[in-house]
Amino acid sequence: MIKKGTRFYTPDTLSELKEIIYKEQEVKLLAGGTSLFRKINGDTLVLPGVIILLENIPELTKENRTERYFEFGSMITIQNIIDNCKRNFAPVLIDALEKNAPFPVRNISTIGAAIANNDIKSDLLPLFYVFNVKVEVINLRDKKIKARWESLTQYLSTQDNRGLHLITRVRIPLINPAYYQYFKTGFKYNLFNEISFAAIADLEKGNISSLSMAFNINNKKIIRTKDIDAELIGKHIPIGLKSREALIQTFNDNLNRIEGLEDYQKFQMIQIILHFLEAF
Amino acid sequence: MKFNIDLNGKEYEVDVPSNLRLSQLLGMVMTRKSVKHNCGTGRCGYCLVLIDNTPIYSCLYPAYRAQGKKIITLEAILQKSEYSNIIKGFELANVDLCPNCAPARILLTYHQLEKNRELTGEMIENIIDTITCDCTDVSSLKEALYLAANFYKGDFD
Ligand SMILES: Cc1cc2nc3c(=O)[nH]c(=O)nc-3n(C[C@H](O)[C@H](O)[C@H](O)COP(=O)(O)OP(=O)(O)OC[C@H]3O[C@@H](n4cnc5c(N)ncnc54)[C@H](O)[C@@H]3O)c2cc1C
Ligand code: FES
Ligand code: FES
Repeated sequence: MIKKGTRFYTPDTLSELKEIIYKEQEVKLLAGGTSLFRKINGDTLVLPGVIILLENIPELTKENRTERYFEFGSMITIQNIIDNCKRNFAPVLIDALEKNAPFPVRNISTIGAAIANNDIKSDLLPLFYVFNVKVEVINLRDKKIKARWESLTQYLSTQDNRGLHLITRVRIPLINPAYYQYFKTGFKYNLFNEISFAAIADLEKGNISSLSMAFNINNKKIIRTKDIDAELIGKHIPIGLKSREALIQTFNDNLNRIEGLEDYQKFQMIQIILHFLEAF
Repeated sequence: MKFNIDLNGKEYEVDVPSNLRLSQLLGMVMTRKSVKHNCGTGRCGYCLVLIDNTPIYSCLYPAYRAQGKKIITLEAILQKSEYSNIIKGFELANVDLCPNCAPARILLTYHQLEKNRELTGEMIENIIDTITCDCTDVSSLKEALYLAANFYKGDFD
């Protein structure tokens, strides 16, 4: 199907954006637009009837830094964050951002869309989870512009049912965990059918004092391993060979309770966790 | 739909379908030979252009979106001494790039060296990793880039 005559809007303010949405029935918000390539008929882009380009709205490109966190307007590009935050961010964050798509894609793809993109769940989401990232969201069908801060869990768990909305800002806490890992299986800029993993941890007297891990399976399913995290907190590092077998069993039991995971994926996840624990 | 674009410093009015990508507009409609619409999915890099001095894959960019922005393709630098310096580096390394990756790679090399004449590992990675090459090996490409950077800085004549 080739849709002709897409209409583009480029609002300059949030109020203008709301006016367009009030007028138009079905609209597609576009940030970097790199997800558009998914809808191709032969060589022809299949575009929605109305596209709203978000790039001219100044509120969405602002940056705010405090001692505790950085706040990025949702339209700030991934490459922009890499270039400007190299010195302030935990290396694991920069590493993950640098693994997120080739550089010319990172030059246009945005931090807001990395969270909002429901079609392909970004490789960055596990990391954003373990860093306790927050998002500011506006419901675009509401009469008033009312922004609300939400945790990532809150946002992603209600994303499917919330209708047309706009992420305006993304808040990344400035934490510097003692131990961390970001890992993607497959090709460097993998995108489909791969696993990405993020973990941060701290140790006290050789025991794990805090731990947070998350996976993205096939760019479709985000899994937070809260029960496994709880199981591991208090454990002594390095983990002895004897307790290793029992731990693998616990991991298996936990993962078996999660629906939709293939055996090979569970195996991979366990290996990834063990690898992280061994790298302390 | 009709709109204006600024290509290599000149303003043009175009009238094209709204779902046309920038790579198709530049390569096929405006016949700029340096821009190739190949994979169309951000994989090969052959469609790379500069938009407001930022390298992007133009196949991932609706043509209309380029309105009001400055587009630069390799054609804009062909007459510049910077271009000849890059070519000298490639020639000295005996690297003869084929027309597939050459335009995008030379444009990206130019862009990176304009930003920073001291070639860093990150710059090399950007220039090599983001454009597929089927005929030249990575170590020859690296050597060519180092030599190009030396000509660029004026270390060689
Ligand atoms: C060659 C290539 C390689 C890639 N490699 C990877 C990879 O390795 N890992 C990975 O995770 N991704 C990868 N991607 C995917 C890419 O990173 C995502 O498409 C990107 O995150 C989307 O960003 P964007 O700004 O271009 O979003 P857009 O395409 O503009 O938007 C994506 C979706 O989010 C919605 N949206 C955008 N902004 C907002 C907002 N502020 N509020 C609410 N909704 C919004 C849009 O309506 C749309 O539905 C790759 C893409 C390409 C082309
Ligand atoms: S044609 Fe654009 S990246 Fe291949
Ligand atoms: S030299 Fe042929 S693709 Fe690079």
